[in-house]
Amino acid sequence: MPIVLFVLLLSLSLTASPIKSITCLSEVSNTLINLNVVSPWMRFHESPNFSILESKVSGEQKFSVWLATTDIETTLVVNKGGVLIQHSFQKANNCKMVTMVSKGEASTLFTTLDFYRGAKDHSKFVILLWSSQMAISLKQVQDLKDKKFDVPIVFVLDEHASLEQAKEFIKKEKLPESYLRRWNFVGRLPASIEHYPSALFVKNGKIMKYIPGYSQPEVLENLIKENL
Amino acid sequence: MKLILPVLILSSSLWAQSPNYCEVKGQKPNKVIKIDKSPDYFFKASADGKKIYYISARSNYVLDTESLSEGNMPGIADPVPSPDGKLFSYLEPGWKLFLGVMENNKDISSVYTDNETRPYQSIGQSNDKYRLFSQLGTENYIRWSYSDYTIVDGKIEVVKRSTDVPKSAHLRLPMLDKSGKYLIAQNSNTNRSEVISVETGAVIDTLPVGGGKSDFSFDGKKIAFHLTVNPSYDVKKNEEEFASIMRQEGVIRNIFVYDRPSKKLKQVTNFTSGSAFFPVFLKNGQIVYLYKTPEGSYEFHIVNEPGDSLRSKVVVENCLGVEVTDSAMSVLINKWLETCNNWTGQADRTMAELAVLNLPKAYCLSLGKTANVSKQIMEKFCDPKIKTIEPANKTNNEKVLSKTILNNKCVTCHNDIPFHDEKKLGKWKNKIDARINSRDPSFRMPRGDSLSALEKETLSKYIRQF
Ligand code: HEC
Repeated sequence: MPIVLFVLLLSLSLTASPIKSITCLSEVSNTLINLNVVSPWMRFHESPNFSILESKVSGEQKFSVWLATTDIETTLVVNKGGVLIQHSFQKANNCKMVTMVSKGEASTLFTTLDFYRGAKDHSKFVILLWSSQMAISLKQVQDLKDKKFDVPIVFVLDEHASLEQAKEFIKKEKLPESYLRRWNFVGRLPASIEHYPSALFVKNGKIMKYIPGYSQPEVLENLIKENL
Repeated sequence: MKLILPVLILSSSLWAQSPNYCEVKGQKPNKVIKIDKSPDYFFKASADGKKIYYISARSNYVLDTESLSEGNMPGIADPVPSPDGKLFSYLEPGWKLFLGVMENNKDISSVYTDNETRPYQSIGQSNDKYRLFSQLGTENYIRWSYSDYTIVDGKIEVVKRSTDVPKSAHLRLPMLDKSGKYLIAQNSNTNRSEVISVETGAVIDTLPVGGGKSDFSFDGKKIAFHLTVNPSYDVKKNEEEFASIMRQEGVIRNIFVYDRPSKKLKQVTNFTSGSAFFPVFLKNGQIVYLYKTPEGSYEFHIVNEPGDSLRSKVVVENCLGVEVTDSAMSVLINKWLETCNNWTGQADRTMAELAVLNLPKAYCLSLGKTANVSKQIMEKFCDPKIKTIEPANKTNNEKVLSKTILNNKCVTCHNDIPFHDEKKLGKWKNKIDARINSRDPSFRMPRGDSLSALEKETLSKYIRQF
């Protein structure tokens, strides 16, 4: 099929989408063309800081595309038969594409997609990164176990950690399997993100603050008040 | 195959061979020690590098880096030796902090504890006084305190108990220096690391990046840490290779050193797969870090600290002025990010700046040309001259003195080193510099002899110019 037609179809589908502007539009469009995405968007969600679009699942291989855009970047997540390919386009980076291919089943990961889905459901939440290979982060998980906070705390596992050890710990502490979702996020984060535990404070789809290190429950409570 | 194809087309723009100024070279490890266990991301080494203390699955271990034999250490986490190896601290269940007298870098006796929950401990030392710093785990605010101890007749005695460190509320991941006088921590407001005085809480130094948990060198002048770099995919023409890249994990960590006197940030490793993290200094200036291979196994690496980076931003600013430097830097960074595939992402502008500052002169000029920065500016940018010009005869004297030292104190044992071939000496300068300035007598040169402070300084300066 001639490229022109694709472009036409695509821009139709993007402009026909209810979202007013897509950051790095031409780079994102090119990518979509290459992915053969011409099907209309199924679902969308618009909030002040971000918008998301979801494509129809199509084909035998269960191929779907999902897009989140904020004023600083657009993230495109392609799910092809369970493998997630995440592309991020940041304005600050001249819209150059950064790609990340996820290891493992989507359901075992915490991806950019999960981040924005979380943001859609909760205007405020905290992501708590932990690792089975960082003793102090286990103390953090234990100490927060039966505590209630004003906003949801989402526990996400270090992508490098030993899953075996993590499973053992979760079992021993009688914590849900959701704690085992591994961090799989493409895009902009502080260079020193990888210290465990770390807390990310999210408000309206934006990471407001990144705070590494152990926090007593009372300290975390104050940090939530302060940052969200 | 279908999966790979579309992405492959997309990345075709990355296929072009990266220009030579994109190359960032990392140090090759001198020693690689493979380990079977999955270690925690926290370990320490004895000052001489012969022992590594690490945690795996809630137990502490000691690894002999020469015989590769392993033994148990007490505690479930955070095994920390004092700089002289005579005191050892560790955590027991309940995160209670314990201290023991250590012999032979592994045998613990005379255990002491005040039964407090105190994670994040580190030990500094001044003469026979040991300073143990930790975060109190039971308060409802983050409280840092230190206690001083000494060892009398093989027993631990308290000299000064639990003194608070006055600090700003935004500091995280504290680590004491070897003298016990300073701490490094990350300021969560600025995402930068700060060196603060333990006694006054005053900020002494601010780093250009946030290094997270960091380690001081024995002389306190250098700080090592890891940073995360988002790789982009430097895709070669080969589909198979691309498939293997796709299997890689998304995040790569590399080791960096900040040199406090010159304010230079230096890159130590440049892994493009796997991850290098949590570096620890040895007394001789070498660095030990943990490496996770792309296959998921673990290794400890021992590496030399790299030679000085080529130019410091402070010196460039001194030469060109802050404004011109900033605008040139910004253009160069953009060009570098645009044309080089190795680094991407906002957080990595710092890396790009570092890479630009470390380019050899010719590559630096070539980047400037590509980025359309004026030649006059680039000449100064790439080869900044410090404004205080040294008198010619002084330099000459230095050369004469240096050659004399080499002749009298080095040549006898070394026909392997081209001391008198200035062209070849460049390759040796880091090694020579490390040897003559080492504090470790078994590593230090000249063997069986010594250099005065002046001789050391002169020779060091002479050697570094190559
Ligand atoms: C008495 C003999 C002796 C003298 C004098 C001596 N060295 Fe050495 N040097 C050695 C030996 C033996 C080794 C190798 C053992 C080691 O690595 O520690 C060595 C290693 C070195 C190395 C590392 C070589 C490599 O391949 O990595 C350097 C560099 C070096 N010496 C520089 C010097 C300098 C500079 C001086 C004078 C200031 C000097 N040496 C004086 C015996 C000597």
